[in-house]
Amino acid sequence: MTTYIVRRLLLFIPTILIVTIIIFLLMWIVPGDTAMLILTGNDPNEGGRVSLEDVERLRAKLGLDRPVHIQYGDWLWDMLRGDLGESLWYQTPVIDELGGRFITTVQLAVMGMGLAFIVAVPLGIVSAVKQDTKLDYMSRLFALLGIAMPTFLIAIVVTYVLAYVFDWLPPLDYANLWEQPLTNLQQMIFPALAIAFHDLAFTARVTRSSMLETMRDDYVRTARAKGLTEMGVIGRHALKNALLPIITVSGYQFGRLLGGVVIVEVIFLVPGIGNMLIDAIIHRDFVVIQAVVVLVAAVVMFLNLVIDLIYGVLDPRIRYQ
Amino acid sequence: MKFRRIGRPQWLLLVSCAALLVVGLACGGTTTPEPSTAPSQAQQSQPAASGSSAEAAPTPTFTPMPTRVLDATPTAIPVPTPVSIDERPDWWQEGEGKHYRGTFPMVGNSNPGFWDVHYGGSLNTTLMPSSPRFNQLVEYNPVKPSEIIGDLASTWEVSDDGTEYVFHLKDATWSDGAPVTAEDVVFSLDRITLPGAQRARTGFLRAFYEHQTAEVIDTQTVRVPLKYQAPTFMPNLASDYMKMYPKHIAEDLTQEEANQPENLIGSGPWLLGGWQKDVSYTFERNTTYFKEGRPFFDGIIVHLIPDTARRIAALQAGQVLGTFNPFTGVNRPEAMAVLEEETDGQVRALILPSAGFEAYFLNNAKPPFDDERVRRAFYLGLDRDLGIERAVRGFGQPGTFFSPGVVEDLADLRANNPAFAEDRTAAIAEAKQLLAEAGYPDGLSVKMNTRNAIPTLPAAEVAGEQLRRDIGIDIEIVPNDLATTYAVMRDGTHEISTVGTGIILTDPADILNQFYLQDVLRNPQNWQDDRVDELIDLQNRAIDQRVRQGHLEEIASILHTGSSHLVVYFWGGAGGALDYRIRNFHLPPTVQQIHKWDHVWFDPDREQPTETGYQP
Amino acid sequence: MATRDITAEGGSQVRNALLGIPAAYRSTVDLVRRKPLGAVGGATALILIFVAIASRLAILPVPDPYASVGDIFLAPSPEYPMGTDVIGRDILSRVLYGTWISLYVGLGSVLIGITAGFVLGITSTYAGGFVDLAFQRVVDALMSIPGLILALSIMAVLGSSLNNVILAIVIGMLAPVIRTVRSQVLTLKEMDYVTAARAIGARPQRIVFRHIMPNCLAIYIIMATYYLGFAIIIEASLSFLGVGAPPDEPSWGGILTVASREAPETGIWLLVFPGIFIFIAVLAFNVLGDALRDVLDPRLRGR
Repeated sequence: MTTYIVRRLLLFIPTILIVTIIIFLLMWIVPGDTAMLILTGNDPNEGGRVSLEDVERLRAKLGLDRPVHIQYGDWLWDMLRGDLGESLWYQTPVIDELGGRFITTVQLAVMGMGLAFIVAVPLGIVSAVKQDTKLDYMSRLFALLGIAMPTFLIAIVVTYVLAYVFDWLPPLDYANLWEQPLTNLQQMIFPALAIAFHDLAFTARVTRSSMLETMRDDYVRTARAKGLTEMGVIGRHALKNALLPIITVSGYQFGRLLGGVVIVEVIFLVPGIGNMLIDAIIHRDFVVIQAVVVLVAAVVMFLNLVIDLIYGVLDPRIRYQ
Repeated sequence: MKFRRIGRPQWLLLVSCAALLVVGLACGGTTTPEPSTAPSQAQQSQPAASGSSAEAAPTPTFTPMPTRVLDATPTAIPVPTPVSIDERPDWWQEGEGKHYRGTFPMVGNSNPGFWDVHYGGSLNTTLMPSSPRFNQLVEYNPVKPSEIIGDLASTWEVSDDGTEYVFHLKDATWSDGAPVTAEDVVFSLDRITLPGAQRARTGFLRAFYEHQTAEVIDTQTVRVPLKYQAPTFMPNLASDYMKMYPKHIAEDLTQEEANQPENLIGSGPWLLGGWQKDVSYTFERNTTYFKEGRPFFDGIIVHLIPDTARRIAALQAGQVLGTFNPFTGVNRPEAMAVLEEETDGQVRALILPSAGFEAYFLNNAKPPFDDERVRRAFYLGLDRDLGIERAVRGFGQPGTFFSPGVVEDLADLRANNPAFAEDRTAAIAEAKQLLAEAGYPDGLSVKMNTRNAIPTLPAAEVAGEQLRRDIGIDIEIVPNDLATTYAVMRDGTHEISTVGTGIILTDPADILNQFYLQDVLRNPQNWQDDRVDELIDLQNRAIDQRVRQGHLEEIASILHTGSSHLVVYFWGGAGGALDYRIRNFHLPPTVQQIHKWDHVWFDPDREQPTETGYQP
Repeated sequence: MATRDITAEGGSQVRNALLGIPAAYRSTVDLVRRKPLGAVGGATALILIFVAIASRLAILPVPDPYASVGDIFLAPSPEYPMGTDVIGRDILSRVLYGTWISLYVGLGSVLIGITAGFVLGITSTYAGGFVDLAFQRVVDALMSIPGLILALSIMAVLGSSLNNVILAIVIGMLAPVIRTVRSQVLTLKEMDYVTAARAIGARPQRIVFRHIMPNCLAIYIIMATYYLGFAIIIEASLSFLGVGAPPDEPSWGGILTVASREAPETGIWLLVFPGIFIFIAVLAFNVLGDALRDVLDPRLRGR
């Protein structure tokens, strides 16, 4: 077990290195840089004389004129010493902002997945137990509604309904969960619902197939043969065992959400990682992009390791080499 | 079925639906949605304000039509009119009487970027958040923007040959209590013109003023010599970018420190309260502001909402009472007009008709547009009226090279230039013939590097469809974000590029500097014409306005042969919206002017005007 | 297994084809009876494919989807059943033609992405050793980079076009596909008949082509249907972020993006038609995928 963990942890190193190299190369070939944006502005109605000489001078100042391998080397060295660098655009240390944003996104992901879980697991159980009946079809269709719409459509429709039907919108000015929990909840619940709606299909589907599988296992048959009620069989035996893959898959899904809730964050004004990323991409702020990606990648990998370990602890059939 | 003994698991379905509903309602449905107390009370009292409850106020009907757009185009060069400090116009008194206690909610659309106005160069990221904290030496009169009045300066004299200005300062203080002195003014002028430093928008001043030539005469008087007699010196100096900084603070700051929000201080009406990225920034009133009694609010909070639909929803629901500062290209005029209609006139549309233009940059260094005939065919073939009608729904004016009404006469163009004629047949025939002569009798296909913003993208779609139909230029639109668009333009691989561009001053020099000099970003392949270069130089130095106008008209006539790298499609507007109870905002000539926000006030008792549009 | 091998080697192509028809018919009937929901999904998918081909061949009685035919933003009327768009093109013909574009993007990315995922996954697993270890790190890395970053930068580098959208989607789906294929192959490798084949001295190529690939086919088909829906949604999201197909291409995502931009001024009805088409298509492919999985997945077949 210990060797397994050590081995997995050691494998983190090459993976993170590959992540940074991929991102650096991508950013290197993506056209445009921060210098030009600083000079030209961001609004469609911007004017002003910008000379090409100014652009070159600013690029040199920001260090964007160095060869890519030097930039990468310097960046890597700084990061190893724990310095994530300063945003090219805002000129503030990236680390100052990263923590708070990360927590916000985690909160959103947890709420979204939690809501999805509450609805999807019962739905999945129903469709497994009542496989190929009307009830199965109905619950499966319901679970699929969210996945069949792009998230931005869900978000726009939700905003529209709130504003024009209920004449209410979540309060502006993002409130911290610890300081103003009620306001925070009002702001976060709708993006969380949008995420939940989208994730429903996935979790419900895993629940259903996992339940179908366990219900054919011998011990479930035995339990039933012993004369347990159907509720008892499902609740105590089948569900308990089916839950394991559900939790595992949800864990991976959670990691995916951390980097993937951008559109929801933008439309619902959640100051999380996604908003930070999109802002950084628009400004070609490579330093911020690198920092965010490395953080997300590290967390996702760590999460996956933890899930694998938990899986091993809970499922005695699995042994780690 | 094997599982016959199961009860009825439908309850699971019910429970799950109920759970969703309960959570949704608990968090959303029951709470009261008031953004801040004072304005919302005022909002509720709006219909009853007239007093007579029985007689329902007639609901005015709004038909926001493009035709009623205010024409704010002033003369090319505003008239400098010295104003003494003792002069307190009537509105000042009225504003003080309506002082707003509380933090006034408004909306912005993008994060601040650089807090040093000398350095940064963008309306949304620099000017809007920073301008309210500082003063200029002179400013555009906020209630009559065609005038230039003193800001920190009370009066000034100009030498007879026009190459020397002497400014007398008012008694003003920095927000740390130190007095504003002539030393500070000299320091700031030199900081603006510092050689080698990045001065995205302020750098123009270098054309008129030689670094380190201004002198202190006494603590309240400063002498500023110019390189030559320049009629555009004062209009540039009055721009909101030309801020005065306190020497004792700013001289110790590195550029990086000055770009941070907390380091610089100013003498302006507002102090920065706080800033949270992607959320909001706030201002607190500077209680020691030298324009006594101003500004007329205790504080302002600017909520940042980048998503257009959400921003409009917030305005519509009364969560915010206006767009801060208030124009930006991302608030589309047509959207603002609809907003006014849908809120029954609660929120009023502000539309600046010719804030900037949509134009096509033809790559003059590469086929097919290296051929002057093809460029001219493009210039002729473009249906400008169709572009206005479709891409900006009528809120625009045909694409003259200079600000509408400043140099070219549109009626004359309509009558004598086929490209602008209402009847398109002559232009199309000539364009087709030019293409045939250039070796493209069957038309040609090109890629268009297009900024994916509004109205650039819809404009490109309209133009592409129309050009393909009319003259056989088949355009493939390649949308890019701003950074890529400029990068592709600069590296010369593009065939056509399009990116909306704005102006800082309506003065023609602004256009000439942006597009027709060599080695500037917006002339990426260095299109050049000897006579144009000569005329640019001549008009810079022309003392007599009529002579200068003559030079500019000649430049325009050269450009209207359609041979340059730039073809202007149409001039489009910038929009904003203010609650009708916000008083005293007057339309500036460009989006980049009048950003201190120290002259408007909120009058909760105002009766809703029956005229459409924003009334000061 | 043995039976199948003999038929494949001994029987003629013609006989196989003839035998295939009633078998296919029987299994279709069986599918409709046992999986009505999946059958509805399959039928919808067929209709969509028909619409796509018809609009591609321009045999539908609608105007040119690329040309403006009237005023901008006309509300739905008998002449323009879904109204007109931002430059006065008929939305109905754009949405119908969008079926072709969306299926082109969807099928294109699914076929390329999943095939490539299979090839890479199987090759890497069979290569084993250091190659596999290194390759899995690349897959890990790709999986832990936020998909948005990859898609946005690929589109920024390559420029916006339909084929580049396909490429961006492919790169986004590659890593999870490889991961799934890998776990499947690892399971199959340990199966008795594979071990047996190895024991009697079959070459690795033969094992892969005879035993592994056919057994992966079920997974392939299931993944293809799921990812088809996924690709349609991603295409729309890319459009929304401003890096999708060029705006004059009538993709559903593009039409919906313009609609979402213009809805505050023009009306929410703009969102309805492209939204419904996306909804129906994604739903249909997902339902079909679910049914196929129930039928094909050996672990769920069970009765």
